[in-house]
Amino acid sequence: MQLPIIPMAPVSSDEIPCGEDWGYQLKWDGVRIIAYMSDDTVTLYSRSGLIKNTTYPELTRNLAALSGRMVLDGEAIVFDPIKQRPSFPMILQRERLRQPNRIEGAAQTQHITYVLFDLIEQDGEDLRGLAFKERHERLKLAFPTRKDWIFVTDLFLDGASLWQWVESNSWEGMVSKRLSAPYREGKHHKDWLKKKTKQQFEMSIVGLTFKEGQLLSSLIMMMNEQYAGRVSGGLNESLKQQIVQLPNHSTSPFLKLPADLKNVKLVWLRKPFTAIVSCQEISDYGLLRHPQIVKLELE
Amino acid sequence: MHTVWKGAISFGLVHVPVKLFTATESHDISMKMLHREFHSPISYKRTTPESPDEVPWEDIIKGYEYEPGRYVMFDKDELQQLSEEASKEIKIVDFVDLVEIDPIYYQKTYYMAPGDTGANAYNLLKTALQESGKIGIANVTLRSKGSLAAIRVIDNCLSMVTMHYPAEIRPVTQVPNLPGSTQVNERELTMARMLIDQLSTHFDPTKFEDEYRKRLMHAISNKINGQQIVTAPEPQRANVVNLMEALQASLEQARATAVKDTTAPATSGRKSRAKSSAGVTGPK
Repeated sequence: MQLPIIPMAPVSSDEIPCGEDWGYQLKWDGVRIIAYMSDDTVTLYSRSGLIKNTTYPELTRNLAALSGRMVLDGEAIVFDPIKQRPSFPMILQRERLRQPNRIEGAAQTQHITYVLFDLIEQDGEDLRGLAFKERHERLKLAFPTRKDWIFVTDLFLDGASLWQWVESNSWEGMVSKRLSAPYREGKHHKDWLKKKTKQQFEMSIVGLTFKEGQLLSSLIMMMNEQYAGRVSGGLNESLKQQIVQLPNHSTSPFLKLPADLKNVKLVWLRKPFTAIVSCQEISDYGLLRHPQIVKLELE
Repeated sequence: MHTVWKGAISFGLVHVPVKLFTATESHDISMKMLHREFHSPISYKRTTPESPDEVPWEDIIKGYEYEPGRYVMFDKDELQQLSEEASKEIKIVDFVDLVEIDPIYYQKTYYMAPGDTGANAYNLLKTALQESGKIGIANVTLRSKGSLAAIRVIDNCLSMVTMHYPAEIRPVTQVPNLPGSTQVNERELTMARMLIDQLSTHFDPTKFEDEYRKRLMHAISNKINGQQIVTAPEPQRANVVNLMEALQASLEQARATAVKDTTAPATSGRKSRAKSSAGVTGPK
């Protein structure tokens, strides 16, 4: 098999398909990793085919200690023990590290779990033509017990109940998979469908941007010391008037001004405040897509 | 890789828009300075004798000390304006052979990718350089510092290495105690030549590693591991596994209730399935 391959990606759909031929899995909010395990090497590939061994050295080492020649597909995640769900911002912190010593330090304190959902190749046999259900069963046989650093995500047959669980536990979403479907690279298929919940995040509002004149245009968000984009959805006139009166100062909380704030008229707040913001997705750069204000915690 | 600079190469009438990426990275291990007792990081305060309180950034400007204690002042805008006057152009002035450049001139290497709409011009320059085996010598200003640069092809990618200006290179004559042309013993020279012959090989950088760095990393991870035994917050690891078991149990319970309601397939197999982890959860 020619590696890297383009991972099979779920397509967005608001419908949850029903019927004998469908199974359902949790959508894990992390970083897609395809792991190639041969007799003597382990190579981790990102969604875009970049080699990620240096980003996840502990995963590379743990996989290398296993026997078996396989190509695994799954998601590397960091489980947030307080929120009881995977935290994308937390794994993003790892993705941003470049210095090997920092990465090794992070590997000691932050546990990466490799959540498996597909088996692409086993002992040199290309399994992509097999039905998903068959691949899932083979994967389960290869990894029968859940370990803290690696396990196979369950395949459920009751989509409605799983969706209910996803919503009540505020997980990112659910993937419906056609049990008889082969593994197809990319998105040109209708066999994996993802449905996402609206997610809420606690943001620190550190600054304001303005349109022409003195009109407040958006709030600058920071999450885990990183720029997280701007939000304007959900602001009304009375909130705006309250916000523009907050005291500001001239020091930016960011080491480097984020690229999309260059040439923007802005002020930094002397005392940042908290906002609960909902959005459907966080980009790979840690920016919220289509954010919406749920609640502002102005004193 | 992040774009560190955007501009264009010009040679003759050809104009190649390019983006620069840093080609090398430092693997130095940095250590922080800590207080011996409190283990807290040492921080610096921006102060001056006239204002012992911390000086806010807005009160800080830059000055050039042209004689001791006397400065000419520049504010941010002035410096900005000066750097903007520098052109966003890598201007190739000569083409030379690689062997003509002494390595002492080389500073830092950047990879170049074609800028927007620059793919054709990029390929043209790359192919021309490859076929002629030449290297372009250019003038460039990066981050308000001018330098010489050599444009060459590395593995099918245009690259630029910044170079010192000759004025920045110290002459060898400043090195103390260089022996003059003294006599060399002919027998010793033959021995030395033989030794060189024996050790002659092709350059293989992959066989070299930073041994000090390896030892230090090893010591660091040992120390971290040692500390972890004392403070290890173990529960976090088990959490995701526990949650998955709870989810599996709760969905199977829901299903069992549904099954009871409709008196459909036998539920006897359910319990064993809940324990065994192979296969699909639910009816097969």
